[in-house]
Amino acid sequence: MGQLSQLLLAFIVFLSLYLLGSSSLTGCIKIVALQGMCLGVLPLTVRAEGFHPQGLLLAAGMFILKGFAIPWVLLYAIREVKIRREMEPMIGYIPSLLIGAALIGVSFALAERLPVPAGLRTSLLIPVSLATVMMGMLMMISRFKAVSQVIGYLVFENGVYLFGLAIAYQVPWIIEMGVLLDVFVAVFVMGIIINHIARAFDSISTEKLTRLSD
Amino acid sequence: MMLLLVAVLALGVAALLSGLMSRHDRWARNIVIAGLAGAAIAGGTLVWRTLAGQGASDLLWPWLVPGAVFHIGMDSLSACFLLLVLVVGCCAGLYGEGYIAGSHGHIPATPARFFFLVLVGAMALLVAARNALLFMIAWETMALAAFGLVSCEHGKPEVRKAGLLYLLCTHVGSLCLLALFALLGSNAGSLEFSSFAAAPALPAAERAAVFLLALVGFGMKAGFMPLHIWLQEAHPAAPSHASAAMSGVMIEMGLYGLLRLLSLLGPVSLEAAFFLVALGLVTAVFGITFAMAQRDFKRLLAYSSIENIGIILTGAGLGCYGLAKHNFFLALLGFAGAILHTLNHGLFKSLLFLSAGAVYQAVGTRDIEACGGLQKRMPWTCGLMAVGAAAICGLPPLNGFMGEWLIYSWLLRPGIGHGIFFAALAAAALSVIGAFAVAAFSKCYGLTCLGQPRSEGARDARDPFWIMLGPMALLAALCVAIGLFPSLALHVAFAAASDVVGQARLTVSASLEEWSCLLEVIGLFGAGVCALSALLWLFRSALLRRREVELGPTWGCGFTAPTTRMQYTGSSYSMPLTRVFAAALATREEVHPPLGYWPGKAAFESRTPDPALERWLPVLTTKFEEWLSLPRRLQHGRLQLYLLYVSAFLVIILLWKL
Repeated sequence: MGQLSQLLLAFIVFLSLYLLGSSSLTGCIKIVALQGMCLGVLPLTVRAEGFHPQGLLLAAGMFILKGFAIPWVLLYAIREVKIRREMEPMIGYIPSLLIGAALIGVSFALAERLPVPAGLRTSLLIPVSLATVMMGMLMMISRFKAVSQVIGYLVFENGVYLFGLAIAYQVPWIIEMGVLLDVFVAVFVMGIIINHIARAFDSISTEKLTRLSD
Repeated sequence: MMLLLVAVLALGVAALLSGLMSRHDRWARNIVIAGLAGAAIAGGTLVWRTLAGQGASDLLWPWLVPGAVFHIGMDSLSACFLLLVLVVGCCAGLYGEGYIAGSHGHIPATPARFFFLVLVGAMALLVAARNALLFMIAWETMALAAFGLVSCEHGKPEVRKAGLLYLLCTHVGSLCLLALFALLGSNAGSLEFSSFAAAPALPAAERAAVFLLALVGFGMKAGFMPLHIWLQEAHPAAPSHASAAMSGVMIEMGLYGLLRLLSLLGPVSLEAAFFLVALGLVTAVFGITFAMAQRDFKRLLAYSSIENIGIILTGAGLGCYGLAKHNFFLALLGFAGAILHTLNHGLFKSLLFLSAGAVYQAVGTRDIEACGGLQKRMPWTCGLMAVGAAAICGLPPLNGFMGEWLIYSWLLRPGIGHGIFFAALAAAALSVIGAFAVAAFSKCYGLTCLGQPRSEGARDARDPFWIMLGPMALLAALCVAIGLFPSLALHVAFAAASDVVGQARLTVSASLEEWSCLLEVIGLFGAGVCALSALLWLFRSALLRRREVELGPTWGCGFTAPTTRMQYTGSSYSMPLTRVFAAALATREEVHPPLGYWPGKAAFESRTPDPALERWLPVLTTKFEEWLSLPRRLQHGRLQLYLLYVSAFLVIILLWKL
């Protein structure tokens, strides 16, 4: 069990890195979907005392929402605004990959010094969650397209979820449901806003939003 | 003390109800009048009891607000200001109902009623507050309600500008007060006023900081000279009854704050006392000089408020001098002069603002040069305005003289140890101020009420209804009554001054004895003069009874086609004096003189902008804008960089904390 979860965590970091280096929007969305699926499975592997129906239900909900529903909304959004594969990064793919690698290092260093419960010290959970948060942040910062910012936000959110998982094994399921709903609504709203931005500015580049400042 | 709560609650509930009843104008009006009447009865009883010596014990309620106690109390100083709040508030509120109805929808009734009642209620609470936090809450409520009143007619751009200027100024003042109370509170360990008084003395540097903060914080509201910039803009912009309440009471709250602080913290240094006197005299001379040069009569009144605040501050400064010298007699005299003049100023200034409002509504303009001949058309309003104008000039049979007389007698008292040069200079400045006040108000009254009407509006002007005349008449009657029988007002002023000085009743009664005798004689002389004039007038009408009196046109100097615009104008009337101060006034004149033998068009226009607002302030603000434009570059609208700021900040915090 433990090894499986470590493997999944490594895979999640790898997916985040892949996102930083990928240029296709549809590809990015699919990768986020994959990451979401991994997250859905992860709680089942972390819990040592086996499955119970609540956990299963939650995993299934997470799996469906992050793996299918949100990506579907995003794919719908980019189909509506007719963009496929252009990413206009402020920081190029190779530099952002390098920065991402550096961020992973930083998060490991941070996790060393973070005061966490003793059992978690050896786990990859904390550093991976920090790295995911930072990479999501990096993605939001370095990309101009609104869709890629939503993707960055999702990665960020995944990192937050991982951290929550690390801190509280027994997250009350109502809170988890709340978080899921929150993310779903946020992405939904963003999808709509992307449409509106595209309609108002003839582009979904957030660069154009500077016109709104005074 | 429950009476005060009843009064404040009556005003607050009336404010809410009048807001809810905005559809039913008649109901809203009745609610306002009922609320004011309730507050007047409850508050008046409390004032009466307090001044009669049956002081109620303080009211202390635990409060949810951290670090604060709902603590209200009443002493003579509070009662004195509460009296002013109630008298002016009720008169102006009653007048306001007529004024709102007479404006035919120009003044939005609901906000005007709501904010007015909130303003009066907040001021009533303010004077009773015994906790710094409660004080600040009442202070801010008062300031914001006044902002609502100033920007009532927010459709006009100049009103919006005045409102924003006022809001800025009042916030600067409040900020200083917050710092002041934080400083005092950290020294005393509590925000209770009584603990401020009991706290150990502050070190010298902090004492200076407290003095400056109080001066700026309270002075911004009161309108000391370089801080007055909002006054002459906000008073003309507000509806007249609101400007009466603001000018008659609200700006005095700044002085109440200063006096309250003095009563808590004890004497200031001798230099500070001199500074206060000098500041007061400069403010007064400045105010009255600019009042002379104005054409807008509400602006003129606003400048005259600055002048009166200067006189009051002079009195307070003289009191501080007495305190610093441990001469309680002098201290009492100075503070009593200041407080008496505060009361009087509240009465005659609100009377003048109310009559100015009546003139404005009847004529349709605030330009003095467009009025004229109103004495025959609005005899009541103009008669009452004449009483107010005479009182504000400090002419003897009226109340304005009494307060100033106390200050004069402080200065002219021989052999009390202070520099004779200082006293002579101050007395000279005061008399100059008095003379200029006569010039300014003879211009204001003479040009609006005498002569021939200069415009259509002035020709058709009529007296307003009783609901506007009644409050004005009451204020005028109070002015006359205090002038003729000053001993009661003197009693109140000395009682309040004794609270500031913190001195036993014995010295108080001794000095009161002396001054009330003197002033009563003056009052009797005044009454004698009035009676004599009445007799002469009766004699004249008796003589004229059998004869026919004819009214003829004014001699037009032989002009074939005279027009009413050939009369003396305000600018020409005040020219001899404004020429003397031309350098300070910097009046901008645009002259197109008639040229040649057959002159065509000729024009003359003059405007006197406020120097602090339009010349000195821009120097400061341009510098500030330069500094502030640097961080504005951070605000560029790029979402990505904003995110970068956030994440960089978070990472730095993480790295720093771990």
